[in-house]
Amino acid sequence: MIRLHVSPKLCSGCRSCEMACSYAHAEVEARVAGGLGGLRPGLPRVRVSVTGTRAFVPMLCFQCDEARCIGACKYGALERSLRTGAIEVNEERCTLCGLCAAACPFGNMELEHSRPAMVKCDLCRGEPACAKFCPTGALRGASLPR
Amino acid sequence: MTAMGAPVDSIDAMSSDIAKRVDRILQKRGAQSGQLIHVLQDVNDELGWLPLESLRLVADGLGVPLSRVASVSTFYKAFSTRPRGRRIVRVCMGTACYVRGAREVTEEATRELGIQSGETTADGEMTLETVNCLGACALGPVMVSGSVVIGHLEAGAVGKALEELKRGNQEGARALGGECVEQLPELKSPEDLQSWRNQTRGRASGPVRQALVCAGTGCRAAGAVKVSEALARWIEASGSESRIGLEVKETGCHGFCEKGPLVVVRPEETLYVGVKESDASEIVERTLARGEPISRLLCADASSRRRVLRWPELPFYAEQRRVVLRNAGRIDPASLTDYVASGGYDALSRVLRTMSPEGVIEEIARSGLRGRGGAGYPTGLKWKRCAEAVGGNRVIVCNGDEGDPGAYMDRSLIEADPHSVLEGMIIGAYAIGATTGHIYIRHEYPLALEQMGRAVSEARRAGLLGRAILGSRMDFDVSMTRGGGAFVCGEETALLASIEGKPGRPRPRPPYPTERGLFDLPTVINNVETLASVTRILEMGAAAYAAIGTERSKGTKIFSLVGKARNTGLVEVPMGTSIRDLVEKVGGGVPRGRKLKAVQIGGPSGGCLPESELDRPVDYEALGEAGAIMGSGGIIVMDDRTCMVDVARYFTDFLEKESCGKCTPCRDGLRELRENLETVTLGRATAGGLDEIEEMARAIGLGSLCGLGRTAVNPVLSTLRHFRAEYLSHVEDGKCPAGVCRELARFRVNERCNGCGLCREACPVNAISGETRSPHAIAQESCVRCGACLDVCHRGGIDILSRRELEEAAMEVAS
Amino acid sequence: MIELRLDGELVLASEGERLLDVARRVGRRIPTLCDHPAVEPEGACRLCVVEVRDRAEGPGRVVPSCLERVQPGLDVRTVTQEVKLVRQTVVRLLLRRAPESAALRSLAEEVGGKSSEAVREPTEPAEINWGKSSGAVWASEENAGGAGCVLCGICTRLCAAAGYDAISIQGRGAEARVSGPGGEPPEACTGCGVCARACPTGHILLAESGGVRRIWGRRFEMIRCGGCGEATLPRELAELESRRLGVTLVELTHCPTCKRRSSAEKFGELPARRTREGLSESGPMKGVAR
Repeated sequence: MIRLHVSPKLCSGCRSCEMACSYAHAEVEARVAGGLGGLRPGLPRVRVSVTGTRAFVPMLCFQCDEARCIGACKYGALERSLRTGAIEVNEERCTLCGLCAAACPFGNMELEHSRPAMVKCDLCRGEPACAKFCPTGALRGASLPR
Repeated sequence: MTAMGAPVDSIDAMSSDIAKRVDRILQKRGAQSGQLIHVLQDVNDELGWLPLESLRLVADGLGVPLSRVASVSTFYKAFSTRPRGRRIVRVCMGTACYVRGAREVTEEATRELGIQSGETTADGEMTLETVNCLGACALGPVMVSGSVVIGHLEAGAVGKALEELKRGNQEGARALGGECVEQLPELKSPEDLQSWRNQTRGRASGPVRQALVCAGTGCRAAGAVKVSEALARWIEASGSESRIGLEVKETGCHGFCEKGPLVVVRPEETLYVGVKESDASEIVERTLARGEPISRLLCADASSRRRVLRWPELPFYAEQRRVVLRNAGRIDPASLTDYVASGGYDALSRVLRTMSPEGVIEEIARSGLRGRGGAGYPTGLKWKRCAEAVGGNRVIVCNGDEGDPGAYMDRSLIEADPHSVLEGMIIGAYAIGATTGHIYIRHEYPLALEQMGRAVSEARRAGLLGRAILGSRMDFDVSMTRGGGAFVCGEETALLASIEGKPGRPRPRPPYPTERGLFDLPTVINNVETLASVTRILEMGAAAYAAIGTERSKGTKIFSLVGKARNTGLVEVPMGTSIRDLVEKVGGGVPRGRKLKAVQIGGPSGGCLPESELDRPVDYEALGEAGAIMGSGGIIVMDDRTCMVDVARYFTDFLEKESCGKCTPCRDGLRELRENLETVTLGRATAGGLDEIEEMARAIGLGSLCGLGRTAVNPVLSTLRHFRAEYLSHVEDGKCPAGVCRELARFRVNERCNGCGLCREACPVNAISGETRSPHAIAQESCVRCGACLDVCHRGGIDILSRRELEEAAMEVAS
Repeated sequence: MIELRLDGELVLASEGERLLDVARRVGRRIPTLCDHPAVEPEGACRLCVVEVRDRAEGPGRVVPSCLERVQPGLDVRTVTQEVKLVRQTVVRLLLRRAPESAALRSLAEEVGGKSSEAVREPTEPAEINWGKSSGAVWASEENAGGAGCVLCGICTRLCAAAGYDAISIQGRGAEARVSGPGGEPPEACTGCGVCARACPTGHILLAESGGVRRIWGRRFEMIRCGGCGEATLPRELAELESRRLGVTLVELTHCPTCKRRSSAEKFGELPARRTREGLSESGPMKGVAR
């Protein structure tokens, strides 16, 4: 069970977390006609928001216990991982209807147009890259007993 | 929408009218989603078709999504999504009718009415439809409208027939007469049943002489009801003295449908054929009163031309062994009393009193009975698997969706002896522990539906269905479902879907219905004939039953022997009888001196066997080896005027239209296969075309989801195997040796013509000219190549040529 | 665990696993068309057929691997003459329905064999653009009318799974059509667009521009995000789902970016609190009660 601790007060707004997330979810693309292929960074699942008082708030999925997104999905495409506790998108089942993103009260889920796929924080399957690269400790990962 | 130019308020009035009528039906049926098909049937009957608006009302009323209602209503042929005419004229395109010229009848009807099949005349008077099989095969070609059945219809008479129909059909009111409620005792124990039987037997032995009038669909079409009414009138009129001891009884099908109406006088067992209303007085005065036979009404043996007095001596009957059909033609199917008097429900009573469910299953297994629906799965084993399945309630389903064109044994059996089927079903229910049963009968069989409906309600009133049957601990009741007109519903999983109110699309097996069937309950699905056989087995004992037949196929089998045979009708023979005996002895061979060419066995999924294979016994395995199947037991005799390529095309076309459309090979493959066969019949195929046909047929057979698709290619593969030369003749010589394929056949009068004029009269387009007693000639430019001339010529005076041969002959004459 | 033989190799599978999944797991390519992980398999297209034998010597049966489950000792062959014949025939027949489908063209290459003469140059399936305006053109009298329907039933099954039941297969045999009841634009359609996105041949067209989505012959007003004005969900869909989920229409139709911005305002202002590890933490991490 992985838990990410978020401390907005410590966030400096450097956005290293976004970059790390993007690369942690990058895909190697095969060479396609008219392109070179190569690495395609993913849409960051963590976003640093700037509030009206110019404070920085790293926003990412809370992995809610009673998650609205799971209730919204009609195709069984959202499942909680028993290992990490993260709510994961089963992309094969997902029909891109977008109801999960619409249901999420926090805006922590969205469509990655280029693939296309619904994306959200999956705790990097157990090793959150954002926490690893956060220089201030605003994002810290911790392993909890189940 | 005012596309019809009608003022808006009248459309509103129409809508509210529809709403009221639909609402009445919904209230009568109850608002449950399982009622969907029944409700749609009622609405279709009520409005004549199903406007989208009515579907919306049904969807709202039953709480079913409109999309599902639409899906169901467009799947079944019995529903119409277009308005229809005041009279619906149906031409039977079953195989038996087809080989006897139903295509020509349809063409003539299209010409006469100026509309295609499925369309309605501009005045809204008539809708023309073709149907797969009306089960009146021995009378083919057949046209029906309402309750009027016109049999043996020739293309030339179509115009007149249509006019008759337009003028109105008084016979419509006839049906079966009003519901006659007979006093039935309530049977609370086996003893009750026995004492009732003794009583009724006492009564039944009353009459000195009985006239049994066959009132099956075939004889009805020929006017049997009028005959029976006339007989009753004459008995009544013959004075009180002599009337004592005389009785007329309408029975179910006697089997010899071709010769109807049939009247049997007992106890002499004198059989009269082709009886007319006007014969009634003589029958009453001479035969019934004095026991004198009337020679002109006796049936002549097809081969010796000798008139035969007693029916069991006719070769048609003498070669048969009537076990399952024992009661057919002897009892009144509408009377439970009659059935009980003949020993009915004795088997059930004994089963309930003395046997355990396992014991019944064991007995059926020992009898060697195999499913009569076609596949031949051992019935005992099926019951055992269902009895052992996990789950509480069990269900038994009687499959009466006899869809094979050219087969009508189930229809006939239900019409003649519905209680024997019901009794078998109750016994089956006891064996597997079922408390509910369903009887599914296709909507094309109104009489069978009526007889079975009556049998069920009488059995219920007498306590043979319901709680504590005959005082035992068994509770069992059945409900009936009218089929929607989809061949594929004969497939068991599709049939279950249909009862559940869904489109009849098969689902993959396993799980087999014995584990998960109707509404997911363990379910046994047995064919009509199988269930009737169960009753007989428990009456006569497994050992006696197993003594009949061959090593692996036990008992008897009912066949509908139709097509180009002298005697056509329903016959029951022991398993193992050779096909040749069936065709030549029972069927009396091919008429008009033509040559027997092939026999098609097993319906659309069966195969065509050539003359050389006819010594094979009827036996599940022996038929399979030759590329045919037992199927439900249709035997269609074909002579040299039947084109095997055209037969293959016919069956493929049939199955293409009946494909449910779920899996690709069957849905789209059959379409392509039919197109390719058409190119052969049109003379446009190349030599490689036959390989393509064969390959496609193989792919469909291997890849399809259900049995319909997997066996759909049997007619193609078996004709390719046994009649390849005929295919090659089409492809290479541009010739149809049977003179059937229009684009290829050219007819020419040869030197054997003696100018009798028969062909000239038969020609529907007056293309034949010539003085009587001098050679005739065919005008090629007006000839429509229907072959009517060929069919009437006794002398072989007409040659079938290929187009090229004809052109060459013309050149010769010119030079 | 169940042991079976796949193309001669022994493989292990878990109880109830489909042959298709086992074969793919061990790296076999098996073509499919009507299989969709979100709905029950139907065995309709017959592309995924394999040959199985219950005993090594027994007769082979050609079965769809999407439906057939593993059994101990089963002998499965993914490529045999019979399997090839069925697959090639199926692709050829489907290409007659949708000659321009890129998906079918690549399946045809994969299974080999004779390709249909009727095949034209491939085009990409109609582009579906979620939430953005798209160039796809609505051009149909028959409601869908794109590249050709292969009757795989994915759209109707998904529509039923969503609980809308707007479209269904109507008629039977080769004449069967997917459409709204009676061939009319489906009244129960919410414009969710799932059918169009899942259609393997791109037959179902969805077009969106100027805040209007068009599909199945119907027009759906798109509700715009209360924050930024971006089109989010069709009104019918949003209203239905707002009732089902008990979420206000306004919340449901705010775009993720705007929702994130407003929730960040709230979390940014929350006082720091102690946690087990002694770090400060913000936000209602333990569950969000509705």
